[in-house]
Amino acid sequence: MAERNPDLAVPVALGPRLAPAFALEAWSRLLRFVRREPLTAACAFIFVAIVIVAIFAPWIATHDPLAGDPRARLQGPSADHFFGTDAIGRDVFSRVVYGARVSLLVGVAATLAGTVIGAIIGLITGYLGGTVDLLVQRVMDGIQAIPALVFLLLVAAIWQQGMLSVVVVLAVLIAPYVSRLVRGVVLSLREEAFVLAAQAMGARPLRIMMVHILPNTLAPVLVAASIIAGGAMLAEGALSFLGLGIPPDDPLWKTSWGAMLKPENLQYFERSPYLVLFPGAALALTVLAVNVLGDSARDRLDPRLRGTL
Amino acid sequence: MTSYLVRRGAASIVVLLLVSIVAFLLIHLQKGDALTVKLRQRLPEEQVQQLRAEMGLDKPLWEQYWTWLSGVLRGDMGRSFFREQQPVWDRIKAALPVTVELVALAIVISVIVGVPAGVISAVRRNSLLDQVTRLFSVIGLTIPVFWLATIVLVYGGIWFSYSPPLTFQQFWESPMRNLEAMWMPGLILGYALSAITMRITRSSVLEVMRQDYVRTAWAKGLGEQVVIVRHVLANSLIPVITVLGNQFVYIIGSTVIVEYLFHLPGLGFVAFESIATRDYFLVQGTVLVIGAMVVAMNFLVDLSYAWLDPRVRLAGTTQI
Repeated sequence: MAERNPDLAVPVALGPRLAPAFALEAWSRLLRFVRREPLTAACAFIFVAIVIVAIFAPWIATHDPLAGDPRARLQGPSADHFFGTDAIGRDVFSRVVYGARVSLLVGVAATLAGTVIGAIIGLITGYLGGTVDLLVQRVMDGIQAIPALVFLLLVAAIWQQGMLSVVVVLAVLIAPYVSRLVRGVVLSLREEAFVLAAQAMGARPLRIMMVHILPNTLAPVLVAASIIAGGAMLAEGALSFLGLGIPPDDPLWKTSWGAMLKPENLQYFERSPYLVLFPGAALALTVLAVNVLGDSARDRLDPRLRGTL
Repeated sequence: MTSYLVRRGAASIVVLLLVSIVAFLLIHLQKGDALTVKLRQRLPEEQVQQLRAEMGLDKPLWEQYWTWLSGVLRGDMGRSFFREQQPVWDRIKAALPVTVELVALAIVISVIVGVPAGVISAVRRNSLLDQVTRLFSVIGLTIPVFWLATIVLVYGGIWFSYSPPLTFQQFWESPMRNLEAMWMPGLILGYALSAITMRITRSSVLEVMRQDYVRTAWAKGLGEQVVIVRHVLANSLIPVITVLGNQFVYIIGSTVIVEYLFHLPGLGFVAFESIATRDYFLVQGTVLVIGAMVVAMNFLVDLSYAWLDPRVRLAGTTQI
């Protein structure tokens, strides 16, 4: 306990009048972070870069991602086209830039929606227990017994295709995982002294759930969220790859990384193999960055697990 | 033990029933039906109505569901709307072995590669070998299967003139021809799966190595091999099996992609094709069979808990 935390102690010791020194301190903390956890630091950098690219896509893209130039088909990377051009002469770099928007939006929106729904279900069923719990658990089992990709195919092919349905279906598929996770935590907390004490004092179930139990589920859910977001991005990529997600010439979203790799283009890939590299690498790097950052968050939130994964 | 199995078995049947409802509703709760796809050309209204009545599409939903389900229970899954109304079960019967073989290949590869790699990585923690194994595992976890498969097809074709055979033969027809088509897709799925297996094995072994009884085993002077295999590995397998069981759904989903890309006529391919053509009974049958495989796998995982962990076995006898 007597150990000082150097991260906290230094700015206080410096006093308020040394602002430049404080900036220097922040800088040296950053350097220390990079030195201690180079992989996490690199992934944080990649992630921030991808977010910036997604937000400022129209300014970063060098060409219109949908306008093909018939005179410049299947060109290799050059100063004009950083990543070359595709089969109808569209600039691959600009398309990869716009693809970041789709991936990040699907990852964030589906994870957020699925986590909120799942957390509510897990909280209620875990706390109440009984028949409702049993019934909901079986429904969740039923949803999870159908592979996500098959589920997505069913909805996309038969109902509707596009961003909204991808996000909604992914949220429906994510909810069971989160509900199970939250339910597990709730079950282990239900008999804890602080919950029993709150019950004895006459707190209503809603208050106990929101004030006493919910905050304790936050850490495991946050950690799982990074893995879930990565999975959601991969699922969107696979769906678009199969031609049932975001189309490669969507007027609003432009394109998705998965759609750029559609197997119909296999004959062009064999002529210009670099076409395969960039969109897939962009997706893999994004998922990698998100997963590694999630691992690092887990280590911070639960130090017992540090280094085990 | 028996009551534990009975309870798990009953739950499995309920889940399977739910899968059948989900599969049925997803495809029926929509505007337009198979006829809108089948009849690209315009037909007179009464003729469409007549066809609809023939196919049973004019009845209320619950009745259609009941007709289908009772048929399935009698072993009749209905007929496909296309391919001269081939019975659904015939199609599934031909596709099932392909997918089972592919998934089995992936699981075998992942256990052969992933478990030893995870154990070595944990025992020699932070060594160069550990770092390399973890790097491979991280790549396997994040690389999209459809990208990896496309890279194999494109760069394999350019550098090694690899291309999957266009015709497929079942294993019992011609083992060599069959494996020629299967080894690469099996390897791709196996790599994705062994990345996960390795990661979980490593973390589980690290966890178990901290236990008191492992320290005792070392203190008794047992050899490294005995400690690792008998004391550590045996006790770290449960999480590995849990995760392998959970990943089963994911691997079945991925078969859609590799079967499509490598021209394998398995269940994933049938699912993809039948969904695209809205072949109701074929979709329902395929999704139900896929669901049954997943439920059966979960049941096997539960069984293995009871086998591996005496606490589960005993808990079953005291409860209920």
